[in-house]
Amino acid sequence: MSAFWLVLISVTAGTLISSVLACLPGLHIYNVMGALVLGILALEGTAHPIPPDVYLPAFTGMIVGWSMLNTIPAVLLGTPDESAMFTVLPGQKYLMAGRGFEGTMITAVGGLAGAFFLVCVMAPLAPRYLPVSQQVLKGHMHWVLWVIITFMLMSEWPKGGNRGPAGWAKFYDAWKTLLAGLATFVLAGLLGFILLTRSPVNHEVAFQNIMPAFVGLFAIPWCLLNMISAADVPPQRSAKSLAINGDVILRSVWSGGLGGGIAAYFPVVTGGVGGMLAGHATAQRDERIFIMGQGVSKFIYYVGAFMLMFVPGLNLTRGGGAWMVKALYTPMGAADYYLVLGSIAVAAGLSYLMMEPLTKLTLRFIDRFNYRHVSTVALGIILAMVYAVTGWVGLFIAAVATGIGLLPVLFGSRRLNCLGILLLPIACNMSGFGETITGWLGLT
Amino acid sequence: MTEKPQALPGHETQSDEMNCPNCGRFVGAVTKCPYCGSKVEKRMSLVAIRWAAVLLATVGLFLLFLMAKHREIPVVKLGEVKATMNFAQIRVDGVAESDARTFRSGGGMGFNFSDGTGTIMVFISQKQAQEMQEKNLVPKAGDKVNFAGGLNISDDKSSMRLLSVDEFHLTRAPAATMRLADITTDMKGSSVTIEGKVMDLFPPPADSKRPYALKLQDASGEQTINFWQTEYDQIANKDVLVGAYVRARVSVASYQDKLQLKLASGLDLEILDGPPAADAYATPAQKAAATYRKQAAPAPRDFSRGRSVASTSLSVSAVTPALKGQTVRVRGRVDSVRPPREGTKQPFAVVLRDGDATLRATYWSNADAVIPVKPTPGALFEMEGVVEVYKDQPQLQVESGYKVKLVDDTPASAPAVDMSKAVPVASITAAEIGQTRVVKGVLGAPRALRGGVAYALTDDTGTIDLILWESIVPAEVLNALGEGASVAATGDVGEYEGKLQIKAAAGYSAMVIP
Repeated sequence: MSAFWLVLISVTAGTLISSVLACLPGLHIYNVMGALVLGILALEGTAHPIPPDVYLPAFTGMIVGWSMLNTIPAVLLGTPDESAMFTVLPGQKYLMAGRGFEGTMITAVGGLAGAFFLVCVMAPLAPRYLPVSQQVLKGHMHWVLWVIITFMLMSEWPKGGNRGPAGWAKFYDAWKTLLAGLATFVLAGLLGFILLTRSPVNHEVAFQNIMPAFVGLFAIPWCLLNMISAADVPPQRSAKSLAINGDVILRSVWSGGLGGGIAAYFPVVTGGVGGMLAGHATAQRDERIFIMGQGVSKFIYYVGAFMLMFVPGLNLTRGGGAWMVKALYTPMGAADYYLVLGSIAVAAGLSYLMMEPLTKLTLRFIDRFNYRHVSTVALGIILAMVYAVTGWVGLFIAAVATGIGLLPVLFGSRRLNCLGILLLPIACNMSGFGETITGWLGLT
Repeated sequence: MTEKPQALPGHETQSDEMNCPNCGRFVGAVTKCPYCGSKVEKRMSLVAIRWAAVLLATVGLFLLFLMAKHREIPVVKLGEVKATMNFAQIRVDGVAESDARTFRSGGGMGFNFSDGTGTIMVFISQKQAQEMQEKNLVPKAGDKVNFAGGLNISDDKSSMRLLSVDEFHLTRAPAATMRLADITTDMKGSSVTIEGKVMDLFPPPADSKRPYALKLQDASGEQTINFWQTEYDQIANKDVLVGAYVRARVSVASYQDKLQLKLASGLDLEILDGPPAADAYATPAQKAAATYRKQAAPAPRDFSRGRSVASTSLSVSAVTPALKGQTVRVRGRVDSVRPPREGTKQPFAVVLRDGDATLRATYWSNADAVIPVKPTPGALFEMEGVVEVYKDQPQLQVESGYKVKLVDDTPASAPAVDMSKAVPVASITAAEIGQTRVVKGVLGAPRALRGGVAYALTDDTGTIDLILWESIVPAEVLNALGEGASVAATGDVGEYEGKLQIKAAAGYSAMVIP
């Protein structure tokens, strides 16, 4: 079989598989890719090794498909990953108004626009300009991270303390959510220091060190909350057209592209943080732009970060997908870059086409099954996956992380603060005093 | 009885506690309505889970911390490392395959490690590197090491990052005591212990990236030990290094096919109280060889090497009464030397001159006894001592003979280049390669070389390249030259890429002529 057909079949298979998996609430594609990496490594040296021409396009398709279709559980089932947390509020509004289908499709259009932006605008410019910008910026990443952390913490506003007599009670009411946010950030940061310095996870599967913590911080709290206090989803209706136009799309690409670009390029900064920064920077007020922009941002964050690894002359490893592939393969020049770009384009088109039928299927599923039961099943799948990869230790880490992940949800602060798990230790390490802190903690 | 507010459109199907009792909007899990600020009563389960979350987060994190802290890091063979172990913290046991080297950027260090089943690069952060230098834990080739580190695995190259200096255990490889003449490039990569007398110490010229060079001499010969500023700073009592007997553990290496001895840590150099024991040889054969070699007279010391010492000291004229009580290093030509009169306890008095300025330096007989090369009129000397004031004039009280150092034994009045032997540039041919010639002419634009500088020297008959190496031509000579200067220079005729050149001889081989 020629390389062309091999790549095409691989990317199609990867996209289709991830499109279906993306509809399962709480399941992250990186967890699935991690399991596949294990399989590929096991086959290395045997009579049937998996060649890079198969797994590279397949992984690309999986990341593209997941970043596009993960909107479905995020909007319809209320189980977003951290990069989609901004989509949830306006997305939930659409859902509660019976327009969940429209909400997901607007986000999907955003994803498609992101694919065009990435392949047609970013990809031709990247090999020329990104290596230069990397040379300029690489010595400044630490203070950029601190600025982002400072902005993230300071831009959270008090949500109480407006009424009642002055005094400690009013002060506490005003500061309750802010304190919960700060506590979440610090606790998540401490968890990050522990896991990045002396992870209790078995060294044989250390490449999934952080996975139980991420599952605990983001996926499990949503499942638990849904099980305890799930809202009943009103009847949903599908639509034949979307209330968007070229202006909305362009403005979404502007805000989402900026947010996703920041998240993809800067280390540790995720789609949620990038989206927050871009939201403040571009100040787009239209709800449709907000939702579509998150589609663009999410696509560029996940897919763009993976693409950076293949940019000739740059070879920047960003995002969990790239780190996993790095263990298998070292990109070699323009051929690999075109392979990945082609795979992105094909996968983006395919996954967009999958969006409509899978959204309708999910809506029918929600209609038929109790939302609480769906969340319970999702929680079961997540816990089984954590146990399968990391064992009891992983479940323990996930339990602790769940405690931290529940704080912002229950106290009304931002879930972004959970990203302290990476932001705090990495910023400290990049600034040169991470070892001092781990020394104080007795970890080193 | 209060009337239950009606839920807003689209919110009718929610349970009561999901909607605000005041405005009827959906508020989810929060206890205060974000729209109107009203308190939203929750069932006990939601309040309980809130505090359960706080408890789980804090107690669980503490338990996880204890678990991580007390967990034994697994010992893994490098040959068993798999891609799925990326980011794992593992312990390894093996030997350092190379000396740890400091990176030019970032200040960290790295060395190659092997445990017999595989090899990996180990990175050490700047902070850890400093701590390791202080504790003399910097690994050298052949040392046994055991440490914990984080794995970073990629398809093309894998590495480890040291986790903690406290968990870095090092056992120095035994280093045989060798005579300098017995060390050859065949021993490259090994560590040896050498002993001898420090004949001279050459700091790197200002603004150069060259290392320190320490000339060590034992009964068998002479060798140079190279090290950097960091190692120099670590040497104890370095002020009395020149002329002292030392023992050093060095790594054998080669640079441009020449033997090189490298001092990896200043703590590996120990100043001895006196000459080392003569029979400190590793094998009887070495001892026999040493006995044989002792029949040959040691090579006379070449004082011209001192000319390359960079001038970091004060000039004579810069020493003023205002410096009273301060320790300074002064450089000047010896104007006169007056030993103490017999039967008195007077000090030695040396007058240093620099142009019209003079400075009287004094030291006692016990200091004079250890001065390797005694001051003689006309020679350039460097002395370090405390400034004192006598009759409003500054004097230098030198307290150690080791701090009286010859810089240049060529009298200032002596011409450095004999211009009477100058030949026309055009007359130099390829047949004269290797022969010494003197040329006179005007310098063109300088061209930087790695470790030197090249000028096009032009006279009435032609142009030839004049090559001056930093390692053999004093910095003051190099600094005096420049584009457009008329100079006379002496050196061997050489050839490079088909072009003839004059390679300036060691020492004061070029001078500006009026």
